[in-house]
Amino acid sequence: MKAKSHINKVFLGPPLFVLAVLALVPTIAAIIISFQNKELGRRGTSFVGFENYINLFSDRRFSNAMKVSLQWEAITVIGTMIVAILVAILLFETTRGRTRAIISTLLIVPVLLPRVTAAFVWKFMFNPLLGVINYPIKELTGAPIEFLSNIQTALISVAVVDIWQWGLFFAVILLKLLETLPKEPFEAARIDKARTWEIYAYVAIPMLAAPLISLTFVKMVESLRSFDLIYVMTRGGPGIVTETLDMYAFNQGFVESGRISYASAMAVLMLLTTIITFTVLFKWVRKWQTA
Amino acid sequence: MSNITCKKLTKKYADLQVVHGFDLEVKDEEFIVFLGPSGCGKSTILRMLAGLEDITTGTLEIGGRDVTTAEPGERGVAMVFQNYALYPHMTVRKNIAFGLRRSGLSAEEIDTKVNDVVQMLALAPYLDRKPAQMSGGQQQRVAIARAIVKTPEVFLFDEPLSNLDAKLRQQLRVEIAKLHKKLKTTTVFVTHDQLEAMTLADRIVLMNAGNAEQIGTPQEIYTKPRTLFVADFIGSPSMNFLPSTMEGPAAKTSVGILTLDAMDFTPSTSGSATLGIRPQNISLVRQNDSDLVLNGTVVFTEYLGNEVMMVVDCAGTEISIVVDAPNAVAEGIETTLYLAQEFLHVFDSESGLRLNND
Ligand SMILES: Nc1ncnc2c1ncn2[C@@H]1O[C@H](COP(=O)(O)OP(=O)(O)OP(=O)(O)O)[C@@H](O)[C@H]1O
Ligand SMILES: [Mg+2]
Repeated sequence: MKAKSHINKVFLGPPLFVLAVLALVPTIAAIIISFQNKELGRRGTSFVGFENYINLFSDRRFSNAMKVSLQWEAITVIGTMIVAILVAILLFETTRGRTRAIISTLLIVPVLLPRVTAAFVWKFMFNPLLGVINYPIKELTGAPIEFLSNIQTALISVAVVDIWQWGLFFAVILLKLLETLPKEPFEAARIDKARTWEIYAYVAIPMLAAPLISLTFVKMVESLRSFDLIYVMTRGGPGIVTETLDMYAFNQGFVESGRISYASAMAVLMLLTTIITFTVLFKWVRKWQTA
Repeated sequence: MSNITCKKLTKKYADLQVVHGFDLEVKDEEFIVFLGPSGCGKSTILRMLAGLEDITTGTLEIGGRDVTTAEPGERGVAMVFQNYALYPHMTVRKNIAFGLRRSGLSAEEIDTKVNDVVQMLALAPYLDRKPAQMSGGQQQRVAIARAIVKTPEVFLFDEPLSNLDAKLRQQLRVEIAKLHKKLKTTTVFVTHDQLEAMTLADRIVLMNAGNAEQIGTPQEIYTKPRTLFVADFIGSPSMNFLPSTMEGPAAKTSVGILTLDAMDFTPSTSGSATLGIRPQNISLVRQNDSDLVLNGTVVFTEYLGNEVMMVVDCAGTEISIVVDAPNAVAEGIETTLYLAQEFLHVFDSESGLRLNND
């Protein structure tokens, strides 16, 4: 036993050390910078205490970015899970054998595309003049919808791309999970007069509660990192309608004003919120699952 | 009235036919047991009755209604599975109530019905548990409660006791028998355990390779097996068989010529017959003048409690017999066996059919 734990340390030590350096050094640097007044193209910095943080709270654009980020999380996470569940059930009910295998393979393709590629492909499809999506709309109504530059549709349109990539991928995972379920509870439910949707709503999906929750967490973390997708498709526009927190931090720090310290303060706040939210959620789910 | 009528049921999986024209008429309130070796199609037919497997050809009526193509929920059947098949995330109470909720009863009606069956099966202490927190026997009782609560026209059981240990199996078997006495619901029960079949059944359907080999009361099946297959399948230890060629009442066998002068049977057309006698019907002392006599040496004994099973070598053919423990003869000793002709079966070796006239 002793020797084994010793070996654990020998093997785990170096990678943990490398990880710590890679993760901690930039984090600590960001925290330090956030208490300064560093700006790009200006010499000399000094510590200003909590000034950056206090300013953030009265910054309207910051609270907008906060709201957009929350909306983005909600739409993409919920949308992905709903699409995944519906597509998985549809495939489980209507396909079998080879057809199912082929469709599953096709559904995984979108998530394999680099996100920037997916973003460009969809940007072209949404295009009012050339895009395939607007073609039937123009035929029907005479005028195209400018999905990405319309305040009402911009965020949803970008979210569609995200859900297209992850919802279909999760659908394949769910389909495989459905295949692993014992078939007797399904049969018992049929004899118990359950209709097809009732069998899924009351029997199959609850049996998959644990993996579904894990997938939701994975998607929540993944949705936090959608900078590249939004950047390519809208750059936060029109106006600041799709400007998430990371996009705003990036704009403040590097694009518009070079206020590195201000952007760092935002990054630190984001980090804190994320850590707290996920800790609370994890605890809550664990409690619910053991209950 | 909830009788079941199966007319020429067949089942085909792609090119593989597993049920070949199955006919059966189950009377109202009857307890029918499907008995047979593994893979003979018992579960398949039961699942066709439940509507979980499509019927390839033939018709099925339950309670006089044609349900050949009806949905499982529309047939008025309830089923208990070998591995319980409870809804794992629901409490016992919700498991039992699930079917009632689907049929749209009011909350009070559901509560009364659930409480009734909970009482009947002594499940009250477990109502708020989930299936994973209960033993196999308790889970199967919940599954039975879930079936009973719907007051179905027909109960279907697919080897419900096979996953339980011997003692629990007996307890639950008795419980099922009592429930049937009380509720009188028409029941089809699948098993490969002869003891279960013998004790529970009003009539046994003995299956072989997708066909009903014999349909009859447990007593008929035991005392008048219609074919060699049935004779061999039923009874423990299994029946002794002696292939022979017949000339009138004289049967030429490997243990010598036996004269069946006190038997009434139709001679086989082929002239070759197989004699069968159960180990319990062979004695170490003469009972009748007509008893057939064999001499041999005891080669093996097996102590069964109040009885002993002995294997006796008679001129190279091994005959097993069961005698009361005090009468047993030790291994290596020569002994004489007396075969009672009234318990002898004669089968046509080619068709396998029993030839006795009784
Ligand atoms: N889905 C299927 N596809 C092809 N063949 C099948 C299928 N289901 C069952 N069979 C075949 O049908 C035959 C009857 O199977 P069934 O399950 O009815 O046997 P059983 O009598 O219930 O046996 P056991 O006592 O082992 O449960 C078997 O030979 C089996 O291989
Ligand atoms: Mg079976």
